[in-house]
Amino acid sequence: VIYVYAIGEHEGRLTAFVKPVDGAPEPEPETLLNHDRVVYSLMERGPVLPMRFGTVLDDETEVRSLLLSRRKELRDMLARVRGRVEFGVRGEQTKATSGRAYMHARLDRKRSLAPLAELAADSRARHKDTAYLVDRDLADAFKERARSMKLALSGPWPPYSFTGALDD
Amino acid sequence: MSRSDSLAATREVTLVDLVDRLLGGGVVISGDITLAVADIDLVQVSLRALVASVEKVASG
Repeated sequence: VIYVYAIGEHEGRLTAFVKPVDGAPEPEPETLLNHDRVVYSLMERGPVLPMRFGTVLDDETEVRSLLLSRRKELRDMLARVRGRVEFGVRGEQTKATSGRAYMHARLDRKRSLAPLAELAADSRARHKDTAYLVDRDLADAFKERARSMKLALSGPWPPYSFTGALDD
Repeated sequence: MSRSDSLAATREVTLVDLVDRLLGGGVVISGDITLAVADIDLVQVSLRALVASVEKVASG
């Protein structure tokens, strides 16, 4: 089978970055870190769409047909992440005791994070943090601002949180 | 590229954030994901092991 790390470009063409394997790797710290390292280094050469960890396809034909059938979607997604990196920002966990309190906490958080959103092209609320898609040129400014707001920052990441599902 | 070098040099990665992103993010192909046992060396991945252009296939 073929392990797919990411989809990106090579000499301007839509390209899947792959490695032939005996089977999908198990999600362990080491394999996860390796996946991230590979995708990150690919991102240093051009825009990439990271695949969900553990994605394997049967053979090269399947990879090609994926790229072909999803060509437009993939191109659009690549255009969106080009020249941009992802940052994660973690705030305090809200331990709301009621639905109303929860909504208030969410609203407060959104308001307090507005200065960061200003510097980002896009953002997504994640499970444990908020992900921001930031132009490389603004990365330093973004980090600086998060630091001045005393927020815990992670990244830069490949755009894991800004790639969609390819549904049938 | 000195700018990306400096980006990478100050990269902050925690396992929690990593797991959340790798198992909860990325491109998902419906139904085609298998997580199975495998003893492979991912460190040795070669960037040359890429599947070349479909657009070449498409136009040719």
